[in-house]
Amino acid sequence: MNNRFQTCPSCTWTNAGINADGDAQDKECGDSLCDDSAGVYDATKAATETSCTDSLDNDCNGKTDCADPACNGQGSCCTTISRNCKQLTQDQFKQLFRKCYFDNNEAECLRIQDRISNSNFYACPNNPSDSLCCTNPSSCVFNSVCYADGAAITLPGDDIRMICKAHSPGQWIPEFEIDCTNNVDDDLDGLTDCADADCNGSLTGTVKNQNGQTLSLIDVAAKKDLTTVESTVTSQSGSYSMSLNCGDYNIVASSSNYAPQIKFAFVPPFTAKSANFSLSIGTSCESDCTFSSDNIVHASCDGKNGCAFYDSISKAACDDSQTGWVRDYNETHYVTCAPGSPQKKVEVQASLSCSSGTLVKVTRIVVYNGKPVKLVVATCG
Amino acid sequence: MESHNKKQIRKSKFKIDEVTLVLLVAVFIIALGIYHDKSGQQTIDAEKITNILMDDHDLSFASGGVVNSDKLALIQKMDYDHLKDYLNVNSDFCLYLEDEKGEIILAKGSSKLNQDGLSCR
Repeated sequence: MNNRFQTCPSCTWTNAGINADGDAQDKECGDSLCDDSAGVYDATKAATETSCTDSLDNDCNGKTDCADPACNGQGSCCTTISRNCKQLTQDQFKQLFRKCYFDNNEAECLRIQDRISNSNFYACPNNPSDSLCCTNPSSCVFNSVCYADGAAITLPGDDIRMICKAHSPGQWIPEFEIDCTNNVDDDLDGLTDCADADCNGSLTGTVKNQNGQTLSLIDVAAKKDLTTVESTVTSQSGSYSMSLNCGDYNIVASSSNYAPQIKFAFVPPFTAKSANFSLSIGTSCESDCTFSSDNIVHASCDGKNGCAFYDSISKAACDDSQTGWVRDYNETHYVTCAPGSPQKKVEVQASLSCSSGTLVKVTRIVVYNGKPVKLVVATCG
Repeated sequence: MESHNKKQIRKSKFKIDEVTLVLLVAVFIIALGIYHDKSGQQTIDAEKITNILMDDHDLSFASGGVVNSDKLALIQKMDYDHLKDYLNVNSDFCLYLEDEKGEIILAKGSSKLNQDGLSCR
């Protein structure tokens, strides 16, 4: 080993050398005195790129000055980056600047003209001559300022911020899910397509009775399967409105005094859909205190169609629970929702033993009667 | 001469101790192996039962992490040996639901695992 040294710049081993520089080490990359050849001491060689301006490859890694990663961010080393705005399809561009395309706002259309160039659509005013030498090569440039990865700017008049997405160099992308059907998280917020509120549509409508009179305080719920994802009540004028993630829903209009009505609705991205209801008088409450349209216990059903809570405490405890769920009545009693008298709690602490062998337990958390409980499987060998 | 004999006796005693030690270590290793083998099988069985209960089988009363009361009632009615056959496990088991206070809601399994308060049937 002592008879070997490396030659710069590629640090290849050569057998003909000796400890040329007298530092008691072979010539090797990282040797603080890296020589060009055996017997020649070169004071410019060092373990790292000690100078980023001397036009020398100080550490013999084949990279000189700013080309050496060791010089990244050093005062004299930078990368020239031009403004880079993400190019969009025309449809994406329209969604981004809805005021112009959907609200027919002429001023807005004029304002965004500088983002259209040669029939190409850009997320920000495209101006490649806006460039700067940035110390971090993964930067974005805007108006002669370098911005780091993830930095956000709001351009005058814009509702949506621009974020710097670094991929050497960085690119300005809108902080907006510009395509709700491409299975891509366009704005890098962790939510893809319809899961992103950027893609929300809305649902509006009115609820009337069979005589055409508007009904206020009617529950309107948007459900996916049995899960209510959004709900509201109608206003004095019988209207309702809710913002929803794009997708399919069952919309249920219900009240304790009216038979419920269910309508299917597809809410497209960025679009307002309407669903109007006409309810017939009659109770939607069932004997188990749920509406016929759901499996939720409603306190408002008390006394209707055979629904009877034990008392006001039981009614309050079971409101909005599901049938069969167990709710605390007080410290010592529980009720099984909805009807049913309070039962004494039986408190039995678990204690397990294995008379012949070892005890192994596997535990999982599951939901039982609306409460999280432990499912324990114990085996005994 | 007497001293030499004593040394020999001491040496032979030491030899017996060494052999005993080796035997003890061997017995210990074998016992440990058997223990690991048994507890390993039990762990496999416990995991297997849990997976079946939470999967999508006829008796999966906790499918998707939500307890289905009808399936739970079905399991409670089943004979333990039939249930063990169905689950295809060798170890005796007890499965139970325990609330946040550590109180048992219900239990099903072998009475071999019973102790204070817990009644596996």
